[in-house]
Amino acid sequence: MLWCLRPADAAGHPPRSEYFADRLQQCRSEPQLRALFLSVVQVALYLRRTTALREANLIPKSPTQRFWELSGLEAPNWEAHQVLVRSRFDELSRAAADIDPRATPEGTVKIFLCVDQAAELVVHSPRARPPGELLNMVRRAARSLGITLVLSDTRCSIATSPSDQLWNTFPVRDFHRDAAETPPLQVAPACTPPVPYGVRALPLEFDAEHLLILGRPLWLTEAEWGPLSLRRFAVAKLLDSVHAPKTLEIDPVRAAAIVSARCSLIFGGTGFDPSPLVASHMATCTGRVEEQIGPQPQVFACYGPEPVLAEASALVLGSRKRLLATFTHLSLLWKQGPERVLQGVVIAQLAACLAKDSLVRLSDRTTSMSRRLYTAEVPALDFLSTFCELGR
Amino acid sequence: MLLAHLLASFRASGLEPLEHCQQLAPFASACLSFTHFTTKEDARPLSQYEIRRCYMKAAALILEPTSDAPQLFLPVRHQVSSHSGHHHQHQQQHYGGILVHIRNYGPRTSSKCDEQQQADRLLGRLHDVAPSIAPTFGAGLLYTLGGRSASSRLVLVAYVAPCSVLEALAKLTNVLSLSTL
Repeated sequence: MLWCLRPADAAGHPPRSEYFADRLQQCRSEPQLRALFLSVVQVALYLRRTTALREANLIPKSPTQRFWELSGLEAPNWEAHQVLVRSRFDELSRAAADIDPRATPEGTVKIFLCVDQAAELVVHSPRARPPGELLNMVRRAARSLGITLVLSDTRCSIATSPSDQLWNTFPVRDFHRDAAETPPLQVAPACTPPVPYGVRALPLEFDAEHLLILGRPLWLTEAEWGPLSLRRFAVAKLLDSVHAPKTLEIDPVRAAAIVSARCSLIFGGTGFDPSPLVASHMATCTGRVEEQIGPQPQVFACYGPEPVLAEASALVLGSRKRLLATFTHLSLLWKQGPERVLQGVVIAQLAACLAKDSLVRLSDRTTSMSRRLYTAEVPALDFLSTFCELGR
Repeated sequence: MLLAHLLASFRASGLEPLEHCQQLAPFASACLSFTHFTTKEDARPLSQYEIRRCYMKAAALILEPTSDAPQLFLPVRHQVSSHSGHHHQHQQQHYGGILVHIRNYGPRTSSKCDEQQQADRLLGRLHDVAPSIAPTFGAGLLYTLGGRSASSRLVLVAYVAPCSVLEALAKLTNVLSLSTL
């Protein structure tokens, strides 16, 4: 399910989830929040034990499908989905009131709460508490019940500057082994550029372990899906669509997302507004311009080094048609974008990535790339040869 | 197989192959894993651990991206056989790298003298960036963007100076030989 905290009269998609948003913001103490989250856990366990979902044909066939169905984003009618949530949740909550999650074997249910417009939690604080206290209480309450929070900040209201010591938290080559040791909230990848001048910094001090991932799913907690499922999910998040990439049109924002997921490229302060990248395409907002001009806040955005996003981007660029479409949009973006020297750096990075990709594809023509990963190793000499030939 | 192809290309181009191929030999069993780039902001030298970590996370690095002389660092894994005892053979992993110096095509780019100077600089730069890389496990590459016929349209495609495949390979190997530690 998705909790959208934006004001009731605000426009935008997804529409506000009145039921949960109201209940979340009404909580004034951590025990109240724990009680609310407990009811969510109880309902989930109850549904797990019953055949109610199966009978209603709501049990999805894949984890990805489950995610989108629970969010309600794919519901044919949002209002109907809200009514369903409101009526069904109260009813199920009463029926599940006797369930004790502590008496339930661990791992039988895993709950993700996706909270959109999480910046609202910073604004709404209990009386006489410092700003951001509600957000911290929500995090603590969720953690105490084993709920994974996925917080997004679609309006880029919060700027964050991830630690530069943890510049990559997603170990590609052995993430199966590491997944079990990973804390539920991952640190956003760092090695992002320093916060630009004139930027309002995040008013809260988050420790590295629990730094919020703004607008990002939690890759490692999903690693149980396996790398190929994870990559499919990453493609959906990168392109902001659950539809197959081959049916999608590559627009300028998607092109920027595809390229930036592999190459170090900073957007902001120029003609191209990167806020859609943050809102819908997995970019990290690294800063916000203090003096706002126009209705939208001006932000700086970039992509951290996330191998799973790079994998997703490589898969999308594997099609010549999509590659050319991406390049066409990129050239147009550059007319209003970074300086010439940076264009050269990005070109070289792209050329290197494409050379590597082509070798991976050539290494085993019998297996489709949908069953292999682009992180596969390739011979260095073959790469050098292809890298230089690519420019011709 | 590529070595044989390079050898043939040298013969075709009249270059002396032996020295180049000997210097390339350590790379015959080397591999790359990167899928994406990330920026290295500080000037701290890369340790073997850091290069290995980059390799395992499929990351390559951009060094000083906003400078006039941006460079890419591509981590490389070398697998080296070593003998111990009578019949025991061990495979050892060493991590090296390829330093790619990106430059724009210009009046001096095609000058052999400039190329030699650039390669010498690259050699020194690679040592500064990653002194932990053992000799023969690092290499450098000059990557020229633009070209005589395309210098005005530095947009979508990266150009090695326009030449045939064999010439490109010969040029690449020549640069490699100049820059191999």
